[in-house]
This record gives sequence, C-alpha cells and structure tokens, in this order.
Amino acid sequence: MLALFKKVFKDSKTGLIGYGIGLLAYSLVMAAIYPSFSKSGLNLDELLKNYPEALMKAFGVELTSKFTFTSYIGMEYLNLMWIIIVLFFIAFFAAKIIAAGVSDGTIELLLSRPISRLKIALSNIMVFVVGIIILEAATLLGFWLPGLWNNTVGVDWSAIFNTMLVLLLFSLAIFGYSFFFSSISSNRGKVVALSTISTLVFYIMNFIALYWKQIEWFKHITLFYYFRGGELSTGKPIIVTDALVFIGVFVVFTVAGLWYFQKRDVCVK
Amino acid sequence: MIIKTENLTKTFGPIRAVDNLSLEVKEGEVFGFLGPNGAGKTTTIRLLLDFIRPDSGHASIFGLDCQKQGLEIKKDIGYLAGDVRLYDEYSGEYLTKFLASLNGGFHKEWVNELTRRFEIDMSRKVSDLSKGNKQKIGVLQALANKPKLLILDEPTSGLDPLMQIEFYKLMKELKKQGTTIFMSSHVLSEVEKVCDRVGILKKGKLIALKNIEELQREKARVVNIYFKENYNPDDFKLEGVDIQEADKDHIHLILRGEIDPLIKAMTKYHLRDVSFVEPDLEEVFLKYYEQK
Repeated sequence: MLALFKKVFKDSKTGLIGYGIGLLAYSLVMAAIYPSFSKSGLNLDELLKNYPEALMKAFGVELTSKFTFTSYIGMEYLNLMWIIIVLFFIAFFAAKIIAAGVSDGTIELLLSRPISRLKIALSNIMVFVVGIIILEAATLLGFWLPGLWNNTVGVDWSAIFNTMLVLLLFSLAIFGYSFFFSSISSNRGKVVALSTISTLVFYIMNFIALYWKQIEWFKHITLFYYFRGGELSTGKPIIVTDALVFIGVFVVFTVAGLWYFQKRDVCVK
Repeated sequence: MIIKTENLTKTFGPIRAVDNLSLEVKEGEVFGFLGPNGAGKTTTIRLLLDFIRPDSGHASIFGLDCQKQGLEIKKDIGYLAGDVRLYDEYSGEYLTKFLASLNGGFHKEWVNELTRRFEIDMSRKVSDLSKGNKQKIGVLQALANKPKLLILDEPTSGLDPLMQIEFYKLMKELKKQGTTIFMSSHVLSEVEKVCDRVGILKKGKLIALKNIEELQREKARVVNIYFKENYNPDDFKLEGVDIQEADKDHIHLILRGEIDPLIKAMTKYHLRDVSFVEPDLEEVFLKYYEQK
C-alpha cells in the first residue's frame, strides 16, 4: 500500500504544487492589499450594512462584528473563492482515482496485481487528505509571511485556524460525494462535471433559501449552510453539529463509493 | 487443473458475452482461446482476473475461487491486456519498479534478460513510445514476476515480425519450464505455433475444444505425388482422401484426416516428388463458424 501511496503522491505532485502556489499567491495578495483597505478611511462596516443580509451571509460576512483582517479574508477569499479553487482540485483528483483509470485503461495494470480494490482506493484517499492539508498549509503560509515585515496585518490565528479546520472538513465532504461519483462512473469528464455542478447547486440552493422564507428548509440539505465562515471569522467557535455533518457526508459517501467499487465490473474499453 | 470454469455466464444488457462456458486448462499446457472480435475472449479473461463478475457459474485458478481468492491467485499470474495501457508519464524503468513493488519484487536478471531480448528502451517515457514498443513493455511487465500462469490477450498485436518470433521462442521456453499459458487470439497461425490445445468461441459459447494435432488433422491438405513407375490409383482410395486427378505418373488428391495411411500407400512405389500444400487453420476455423 505504501508503494501505491507513493505512486499516487508522485502523480499528484504537479497538481499539488500548482494549486499550492496558486493558493499561496492568492493569500499573499489578499494579505498585501489589506493594509490599503484598512487605511483607506472607508467605513467598510457602514458600507456593507447597505447590502442585503442574505447576500452578506452568502459571502460569509457577519454584520454584527467589526471589520477586521480575518473577516476581510473570510469575505474576500476563504468563504467562497478558496472553496471554488479547491473544488476543482477535489473534482479532478476524485475523477482520477477510479473513473480515469477505467477510461484510460490503466486500472487493469493495478487490478491484475495482488493488491485489493480497497487498498487502491484507500491509498488515493490518503493522498487526497495529505494533499488538502498541504493546500491549507500553503494558504496559511500566505497569511503568515506578510506579518514578518508588516505588523499592521493583525491576524486572529484562532479564528483563521477554526475556519481552515472547517474548510478541511467541508473539502472532505465534497470529496466524499466526488469519490462516490468516480466509483460508479467510467468517465473522468462526467465525474468532474457532476462534482462541480452538485457543489454549485448546493451553493445556489443555500443562496435561494436565504432569500425565500417559503423554501428556507432548503438550506438544511446544502452543505454551504453548515459552513458558517462569517461567524468563524469573528472568532465564534466551531459548531460541533456542522463538523459532524461534514464528517458524516464524507464517511457515508466514501464508504458507499468503496462498497460500489468493490462490487462493480471494471470494463476497460 | 490450473484454470477451471463451470457454466460461466456474463451478460451486458441484452448481449450474452459469455454463455455457459465450461473449460479446463491443465498445468503446463498452452491453451489457445480462439474467436473473432466480440466472441467473448476478453470477457472470459476479465472474469478469470475478477475485473468483472459473472452472472452465474464459477471460475477458479490454481483451485482457488477467482472472486473470493483473487489476491492469492494474482501473486502467481502474469497478465497482458489486448490493448496495453500503461502510465504515459512513466518510463519503462519506473513502471517496472512500481509494479515490482506491488508484486513483492521481480527477478532482476530475468527483467534484464527480457529487456535485452525484446530490445526495450527502459529510459524513455511511455508516451514517447510506438504501439509496438508499448506492447514490448506490456510483455515485460506480464512476465517479470515469472508467473506460474500467463494470461495473454492477443499478445502479439503491435509486435513486429522479428519480435513475434522472439515472443514465440520465449513462450516455448516458458512451456518447457512448466508455465501454463492461456492466450486468446484471432491469429490462427500464432495459435498453431505455440498452443497444445484450443477452444473456439462463438458468441460467448465454446463450440469446439481440440488438441492442436486434431485441429491440424482436420485441415484439408492438397497433396501431389509424382511416381517413377506405374501405380494403381485404387491404392489411394483411403478414408479422408479425395482423389481430384489421376494421371499416368501423378496423382492430385485432398487429404482430410490421418496422414499415416497415405504415407503407407506411397511407400509401395518409387517416388519422384511429393508436395503438400498446407492451408492455415483459417479454413478449419471458418468451417466451425459456418457450421455452428
């Protein structure tokens, strides 16, 4: 299994480096332009209060608190942009695990060896977990580096860490259903499309539910409802139920995907 | 028995790809699995390797259940896919190293020998290789663990004639060493060269199971015998022999079946020349396909 883990990690290296550098650069840019925001004299709190509450919630802005670096980072980056960037990493990674192997035929190389389907899938899942932690570390590095030469960037590390922890769980949940799509499909493109579209549908559902009270219950079936980025950036603690929902989605879909992959026919065309 | 299938059946929607297939392959045997494209050869191989699961029936290798004990079986199997797919971004060397780690190691000298015999450039990326060179790496990775059973799906597709000769030579060497070989093919001359026994598959059903000698005996051979003396054409009215033309010093006949009685009939006379025109197995193969 270690050999397979190393192989998957090697295969993912280029993608990880690319996404890692991208996220690091984005973090650096965000941190670098923050002082100009805070010194501009604009009363951002007042400005933001003019926007509809639902819109602010959708972008993860908590209106009851003061505008800080952490809430700015949440609003401008972590609560939506980061998720969108990482969503593509997740969708492509999950598609590669099974569906891509079936569509390009390389899965036969593995299945003809004395290694179980379970180990093939698990080693990929392990690399994903390591990969997403690396991406989070790159993101955090981008917030930390500017502080070395500019102490005006006041970072509430506790709030940032909480946000990143919930983002990690959120990413795992997205990965869970993406992996499930990969395990039932033989087409890489379909998996990427299904993963990204379903995540975007969740986002839109959450957005609509915030506007229309009649369909407010919608929010409970979207993952975005359980990611309270705005609250986390103000220093509020992680709600255990939210974390459990993400963990539950990850576990249920991953186990379902593993079960289906064990049973399915692998018909390389 | 190395391979045993009992009433193995697999359907894909309305298509019955493998239909109640029962066959046995003995230890040390080279078994040819014949049939045109779509006959069910690859599906059978995938069932044996547990890539796909049967609707009904049972398959075992080394006496172990292909579905339940697949991992144990795969320790001693070498598999070459019909259309070899390798990791494009890997070199032959890295790929071999990786696959060795999954198999618990390859025999280094043996890998070097295969590399030399098939003239494989192990340093080049798979994506830079031609189809034939990819096939060579496929052959290498199938043989590298010195398996007890080799499962080969159309093994020589893409290999140039020289490499095909090397491949057949290698198959004969492995057979001598006791390796069991199960190979599918639609190239009958290939099967004739290396196989002991063949199974002919049509629309998923096994329509014939024969020794290669039996199959060869069924071939219609055109025989021309030239005599130095007068002969009696009645001596050649034998079972399985059709006399086409009988001249004063020459007889033209078609032989279907045992050659021994004909040879005995010929030895009664002084001969000037004899010629046998050997059609390939294609004719026999077509005969089966037309009949059943």
